[in-house]
Amino acid sequence: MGHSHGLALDHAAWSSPWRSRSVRDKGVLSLGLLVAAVSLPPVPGGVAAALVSLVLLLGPIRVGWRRLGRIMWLPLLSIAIGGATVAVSVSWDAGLRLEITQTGLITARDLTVRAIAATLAMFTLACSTPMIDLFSALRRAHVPAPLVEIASLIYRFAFGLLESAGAIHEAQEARLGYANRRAAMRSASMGVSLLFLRSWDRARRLEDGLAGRGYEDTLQTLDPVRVRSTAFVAGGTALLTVLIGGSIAWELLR
Amino acid sequence: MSHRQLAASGLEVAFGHRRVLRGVDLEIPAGRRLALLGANGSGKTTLLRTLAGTGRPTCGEVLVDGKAVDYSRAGLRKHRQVVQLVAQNPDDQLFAADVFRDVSFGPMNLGLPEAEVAERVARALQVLSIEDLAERPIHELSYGQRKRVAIAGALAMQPCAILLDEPTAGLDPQGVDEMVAALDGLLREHTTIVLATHDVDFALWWADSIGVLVDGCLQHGAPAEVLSDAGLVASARLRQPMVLQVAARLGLASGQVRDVNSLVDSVRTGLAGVGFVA
Repeated sequence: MGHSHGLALDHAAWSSPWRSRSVRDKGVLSLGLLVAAVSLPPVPGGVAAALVSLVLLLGPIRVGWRRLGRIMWLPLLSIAIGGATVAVSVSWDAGLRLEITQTGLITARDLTVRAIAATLAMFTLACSTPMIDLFSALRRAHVPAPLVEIASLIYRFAFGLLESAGAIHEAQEARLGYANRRAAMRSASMGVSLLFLRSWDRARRLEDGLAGRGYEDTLQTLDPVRVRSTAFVAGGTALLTVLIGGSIAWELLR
Repeated sequence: MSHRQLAASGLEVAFGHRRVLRGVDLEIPAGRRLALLGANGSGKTTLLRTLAGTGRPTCGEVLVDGKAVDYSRAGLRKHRQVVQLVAQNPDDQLFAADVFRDVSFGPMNLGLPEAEVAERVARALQVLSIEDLAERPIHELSYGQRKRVAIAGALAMQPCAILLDEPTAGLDPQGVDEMVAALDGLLREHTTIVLATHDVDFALWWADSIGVLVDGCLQHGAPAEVLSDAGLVASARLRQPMVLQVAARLGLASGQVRDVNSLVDSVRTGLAGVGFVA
């Protein structure tokens, strides 16, 4: 299996020691860090929120530097582009003029810090919670069941689809299907149509298989028991209180 | 778990003008092992699907304890608590993100209380020795592991009979051993097992009886008896099991030969009969 951004995130979530914790407990901590990241002054509040998230990701959530790098490069690239766009101002007064102002730089710095802190805060939840647990939480939050079911099926079969697409591409490439632009266009279009037919056939066979297991109108399954810990929530709340209080005190004492 | 007898009477299935099954009669006593053999396209999967109620016969009946299957929604719901089908490709029936949730799907559909569902899931995983996979994502499992999870999903319905379509196909030798261990687990639960396979050697030593499908017709009997019939084996595009070929070349009676051990025993008995002590 490859190691793209999405798959690295999925591996991290399934292998995290925090996977068995309840979404509620992790959500309180992650949401608190997110709120701190976007509402506190970027320095020191945003920086502190980012550092706390980073310590959690590399510590108890056990993502590891390399995997974190694979997960973070895409959001970091996007944040860098956004920051650069804010730092540079464009004016048309005497023709096209690009300039970097002090105000622009400060705004870009604040935006970048907040965006990185907010992304890391969200990853504390995403890297410790498999997608399916999030879907279960959505179901419990009364999000319409058909929507959650469709999202779950897309998540489950996205991996099969990627595998099929990879196998088709490999087989075409081995027979010089991508030797030139014209062949590549033809191979790609045939690959997509084949993928569609395979998906259709698989959906039909799956429907048959599920009917044999008593499927009627809902894909209901039993959720595994997750650990709910008052101590964890209290610890998280204390951490957030220190973070927010410390940041406000810094501002007042400055 | 109650144990009930599954049978078919005059079963015919046609797809358009093509008749896949022609008057199949079959009786599978509770707790027995039946292996279905036949060439590709001979109707093995169709027979399993029809017995499971997934496909409907054009003519004839599937019977449970002598009563014909009712194809109404309620009737099929009842039938699926008696007979479960495990597809050849596990991805045709696994849909949930992790093993625990997938195995719980059937019992949840029965409307059982959550505690009982959890108990059934734990039991099914234990019988198949895959408790360690419970929290694993299905997309990260090997093909053999997914096959065993698919069986666990069927077993959690606590059926009297499980029908398996080519359970050993695509598995490496260790995967086959693990599958055999899984089947042993089902047998300890006194579950009737019907499986379709191309593996004649496996069918000979594993099954209590063997059915061979040729041109939509089923012929069945004791394993050694059926597989010693060279004409039948050839017409089904199969080959005779290796141990039966060796037994035939040595002039031994094939009735007792099922695997290498029983072949060696037969040879020893033969040698002892002429005064040779090995």
